[in-house]
Amino acid sequence: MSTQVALYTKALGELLANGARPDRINKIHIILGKKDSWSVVAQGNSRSSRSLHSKSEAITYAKRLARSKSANWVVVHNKNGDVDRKIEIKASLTD
Amino acid sequence: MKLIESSDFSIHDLSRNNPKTLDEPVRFNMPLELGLAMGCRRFGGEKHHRKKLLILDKDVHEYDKYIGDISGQDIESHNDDPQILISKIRHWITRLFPNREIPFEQQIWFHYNQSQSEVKDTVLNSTKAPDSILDLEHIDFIRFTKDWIVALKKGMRNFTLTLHRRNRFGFLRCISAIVN
Repeated sequence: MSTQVALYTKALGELLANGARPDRINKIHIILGKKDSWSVVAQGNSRSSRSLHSKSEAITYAKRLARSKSANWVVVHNKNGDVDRKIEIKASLTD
Repeated sequence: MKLIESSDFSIHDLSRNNPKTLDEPVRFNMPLELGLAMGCRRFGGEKHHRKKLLILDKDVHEYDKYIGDISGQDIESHNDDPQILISKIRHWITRLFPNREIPFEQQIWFHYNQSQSEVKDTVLNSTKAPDSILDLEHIDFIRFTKDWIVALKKGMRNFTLTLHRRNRFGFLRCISAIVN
């Protein structure tokens, strides 16, 4: 059985909050959209850059978007909203 | 109990009564809290008479099997789908506050996904952290998520102002993104 530990601190909360800033895009998210499409959403944004039919298409587009915005990660979510996997983006690598 | 007494609005999801493992007993926290909230509204006098409750379950009439006396309340099902859950709660809030501007379901869903990612990266990598978001203390999860939402709103405002300094078109576009 798991044990629960209270661990909130203001400093940790502030660190986490950095991820909500749209002026410092470090992540591009791939999120389930409407009608089983996959939406590519830049960090801190409310709207998708593009919606695509398949997850693999969305990953390809997200990698390109990440490079253009100098983001370091593409975060792929599952249908429940949890993180499925993270893809590190390195400027020198190609798709 | 203090929380129930002081809350004008409450959401009770009855779908999580089942134990996580075979060894665990069935959990009655949610039905108990619902009963307290209903009792508070019924017998708590003028102060509690206007309490608003939303009851959720996985299936439409799942609750009939174990609590038959709650029909006539606001009861919705979510089919264990977080997008449906967001939609149902948003709809309930919209009905309660028809003049307030509530973000669209899609926006809430996108932000929920993003905040999950940040909690995972930041909080679960810290010392003493549990293995899963599900094992976080509920109050911790709320505090972290609240910080994230506050930063998101603040960041959007700052972003808007920065764009405003750069050009008016960018400003208008950003305002449009926030409003919509």
